[in-house]
This record gives sequence, C-alpha cells and structure tokens, in this order.
Amino acid sequence: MKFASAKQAILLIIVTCAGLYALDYYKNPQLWHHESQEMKASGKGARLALWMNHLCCTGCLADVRQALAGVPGVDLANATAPRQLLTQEQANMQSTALPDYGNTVELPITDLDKLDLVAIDRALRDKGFVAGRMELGGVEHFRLEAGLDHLCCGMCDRAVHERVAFLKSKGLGGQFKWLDSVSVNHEKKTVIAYARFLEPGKNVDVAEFLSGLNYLGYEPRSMRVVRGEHLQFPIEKTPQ
Amino acid sequence: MRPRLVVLSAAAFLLLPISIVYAHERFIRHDLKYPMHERYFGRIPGAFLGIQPDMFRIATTSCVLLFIFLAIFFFRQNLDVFVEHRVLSFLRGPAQRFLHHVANYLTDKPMNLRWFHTVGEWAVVFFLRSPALVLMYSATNDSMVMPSYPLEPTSAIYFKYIQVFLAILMLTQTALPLAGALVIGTWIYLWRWGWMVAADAIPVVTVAVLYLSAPWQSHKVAITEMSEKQVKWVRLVLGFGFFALGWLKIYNYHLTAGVADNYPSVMDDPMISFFSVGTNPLYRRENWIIAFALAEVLSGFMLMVGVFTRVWGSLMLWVFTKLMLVNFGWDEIPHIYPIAATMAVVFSSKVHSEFAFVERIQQRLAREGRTLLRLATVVTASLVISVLTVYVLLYAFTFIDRSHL
Repeated sequence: MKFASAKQAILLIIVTCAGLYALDYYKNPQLWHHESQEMKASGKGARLALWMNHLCCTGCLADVRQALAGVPGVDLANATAPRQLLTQEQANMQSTALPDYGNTVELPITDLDKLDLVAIDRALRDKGFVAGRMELGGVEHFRLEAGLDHLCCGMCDRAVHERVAFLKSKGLGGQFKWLDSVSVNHEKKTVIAYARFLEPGKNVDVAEFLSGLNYLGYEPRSMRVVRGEHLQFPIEKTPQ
Repeated sequence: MRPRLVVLSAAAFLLLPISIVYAHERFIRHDLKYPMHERYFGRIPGAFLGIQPDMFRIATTSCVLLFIFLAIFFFRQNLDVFVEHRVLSFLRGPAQRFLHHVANYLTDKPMNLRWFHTVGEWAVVFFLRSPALVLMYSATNDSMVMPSYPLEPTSAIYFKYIQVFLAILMLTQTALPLAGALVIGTWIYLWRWGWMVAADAIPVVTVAVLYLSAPWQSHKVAITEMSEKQVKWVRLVLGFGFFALGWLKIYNYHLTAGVADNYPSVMDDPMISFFSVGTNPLYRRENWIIAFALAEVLSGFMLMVGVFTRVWGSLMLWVFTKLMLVNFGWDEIPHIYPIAATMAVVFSSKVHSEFAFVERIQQRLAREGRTLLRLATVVTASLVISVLTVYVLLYAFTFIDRSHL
C-alpha cells in the first residue's frame, strides 16, 4: 500500500493553491488591480473616479459621457476612460466574454467648489446609470457638506448624528473608514462629514455618505467637497 | 526537489496571501440592528487590568471552570479508583459494569463496548464523507467551501466544478491524499480574502489530516478507524479551530452581535447564561458575546489538549446539533461537518492528553508519598494553564480598537 510522501503532499498543496490564485487573478482582475490604480492616481491632483457596475462597451461610455456633459467642476474632455473597451458590435457578438461588466471613468476635478456629487448622481440616474462608487482622491483634507432641506427639529439633528455613528460601526466591509466625525448645522440645514487625512495615492468612496443619508431617510439637495485649510483635528472646527 | 527548496516554496506560498487585497465586495456584512457599547471592548480606566468589569467577571468564571476541570483531570485515575473501588465498591454485575463504562467514557479511557466501537466506525465513515455534502451545498449556493463566502460571478463556475470534483473524490474515497492537498491548498487560498476568513475555515482543514495520511489506493480499502496519530492530529486541528473561532468572536464582536440580532434565540442558551451570571443586564449583548466566545475557547482548548475530550466533545455535539436544528435551521446545515468530526473523536478509544506529563509527575509524587508537592504541582499547573488560556488574549484585545471592523 503506497502512501503520499511529505514532498508529494507539499507539491500538491502548492499546485492547488497556485492554481486557485492564478484562476482568480485571470478571471477577476478588477479585484486585484485596484491598488495599482490608486497608486497611478497619485500626484495627478484632485480626481473623482466613478466605478460603474455596468459599463461594458463604447455605447455605455458614450451615454455616461453624455450624462456628465453638463456637470460643472469636472473636466470631461480629459476623463480617463477604461482601456480595452468593447465596441458595440463586439459586445453584440454572443461569443464575447468579459471578466466583469463594470468599469471606471476617472474625472479630473477642475473646480472643487463647483463640484456637486448629488448633481453627478442625478445626471447619471437620469441617463439610466448608477455609480457604484464615487472615489475621491488627491485631496488630503476635506469635508463633505450635504444640504438637507428637511432638518425640522432637534430630533432630526440627533437622528443624523446618532444614526451615522451607527452606520459607521456597522460598516464591517470597511465602509466609512474615512469618516472622522459628523456635525449638523440646523440653521444652514447642512450635515458636514469630516474626513480623516487621506494619504497620497489613496481614495475614499464618498458615495457611501450619499447612500448612508438615503438609508437614514434623507435626500440631500447637494453634496459639496470642501477642502480643509490646514491641519486641525476636525471636531475642533465643529460649530457649536 | 531538495527538501530545503520544498520548505522555502511552501513558506513563500503561505506568506504570499497575507498581503492585503482589495475585496470588500465579497465580505459578508453582518446585520447589526442596534448599536453596540463600543467602550465595553476597549480599555476601561481604573478597572483591574483595564478590562471592563463584566468582561472580567465572565473571564474569571471561565478561568475557574477551566482550573477545576484541569485539576480533576490530573487526578482522574485516583478519582476513578476512589469511586469505583471505594465509594461504590458494593456494586456487582450489570450495575458495576455500567459504572465502569461511564467512568471510562468520562475519563477518556478506552471503551470496551461493541456498540461504542460500531458507532465509532460509522463516525469515521461519516467524517470522511461529510465534507463532500458541505462542498456540494456550497457549490449549489454559488459559494466557496462555506455558504458565507459567495463566489465572484465571473469565476464562480470554475470554483463550483472544482468543488464538485473534490466532493466526488471524497464520496468515492478516491485518491484521498490528493483530496487532502486540495483541501489545504484551498484553505491557503482563502487567505486571499483576509486572515479572518482563513481562521473561520480552520476546522475544514481537520479532515485533510485523515486524507493525507490515507493510502493512494484509498478506494480499495475500508477506512473505518483512525490510528492514535490520526486521532491526535484531528483533535489538535479541530480543537485549535474552535479555540481560534472563540477568540475571533471577541475580536470581531460586531459580527457576533449581528448574528444574535438576527437570531435572538441563541442568546437564551442556559450554558452560555451560566458564564455571564451576575453581570450587568445593561450590557446583555456584550456579555453574551464574551460568554459565548469563552465557552467556545474553553471547549476548543479542552479538545485541543485532550482534557475530558469526550465530555467537551459531547457538549459540542449538543451545541452544534441545537444550533443546526433549533436556532439557525437550514442555514446552518454545514454544521453536519463539525458534528461528524467531533463524533469521530468522541467515539474513538484512542484519545490521549497533551498534558499527560502532569499526570505522570503527580502519580510519581504519590508513589513517593510527597502529598503536598503533589497537590502543589497539580494546582500550579492548572492555575498557570487556566490564566494563560483565558486572560492573555482578552487583555491584549483591549488595546486594539475593533470598532471599525
């Protein structure tokens, strides 16, 4: 009766493991290259990367470009479109396979003051798209100011405060890691999310805050990115 | 290939997946319904060792329990003799034999009963094949090894076929060393999704011990019994798996609380409630997490080191079956596998202890008539083991902010 030797066992384990890694790398490249895309984005100034869960061909890209045409604050002409995008004709052929239907459109931000994330979200939705992630990079210190028309009472203010803290603790998948604190300005009807220091080359998904507010039952009329002036612990800047 | 090269290659592959990869899409979110008292799990100024008092109380209960079990175990021979030959020496016939079998069962001695041996044989067959059921269940649920790890749609079909292939090897008992290598290789691949995923899947590796030590022509032999070495390794890996899972429950407490929020009945377990006796009801969920986790740490540790293996194994069988049939229902059907693994250990007549040396020292001192030293040895050994097992990691965890996990 022959038994497996230690060498045989180790070799088989290595082959199995390497095979699974290779298969995963080949079939799911979008899960492996994210970090390198982040590094590529470093040093390019403020940028907004829109991860579209569906952006499979040049037809989709054209519609996305059309949707974003009138959005202020971004440079659509210099947007980085995904490489190796299929043409509509290629996509029509049944034999064509894709590792993933999703893709990223990276937009250089020309004027941070004019950029409105809610406007981008609405423009895409009006054209039949939803951005799965809106990744902001190249801004070390920033805060998000969301305009909320409905902040009628103290309970509304407290709900935002407490429920965002709850969402943050609930974010097991790493959501809201970038969020330091939240403050509510009842008079101005704004909710301010202070972000932690963003390392060069890294980015954060600001759509988390947008969908978080939706989850809490609020629909913001606008969401602006405000650059932090100097190094200061965000909570100190919270208006009392 | 030179042995050094083999070892280096294996080490490189083990270290490779530790690099952080971006994969949050695949991480299953817990569904926490109410916020936690985050401060409970951190450093508490003024509290002993900085540990939250309720947490410390549960830990102390666990430590005392472990100490008692260890001390009794080290005196098991003497206690057995005392009960069988002194206290109940008047028993004769079937009653005496029954007492003898119960004593053997409780003290992890070989069982000389035909039905016990038959159940043990069946448990090994069940253990060998049950992973196949879990793999097939996972494949039909588009997941990897366990239903909680969904597969990426783009590669799902390949991983599903691989799982079915592996399941066929297991069910037909074909080329079991290959099946063992596939199991371990897949487990190492799971590191790709993070160390917590891999830790969660440690019990799956247990069966690979049996597969790797089976002959290549495994389909030609009836494997119905495990050797002493196999039992030892199965016990060590399975026990360590649950020991690690217990600590993971405390480390990643949001996930544990999320489970309780979705299945509130799990919090009504009398055994778990015992651990949290006397704690502040304000922290009911937090206390339950610590109690539940330490109960698992204790049972995993006992199984791993072979202290009252059958008693703790039987308790684990009860808990797994209850979770599968009562608390979680069909969602927890993969618990069939740990049930099979635990049964194979519990119904083996070859269970031994890693702390047998303490027993040997104790018995030698007894023969030499050094009673005080004998008692001191057992008490010191039990105390050191209990304190190190319960408090060290619990104390270390308080320094780690896990609120963002």
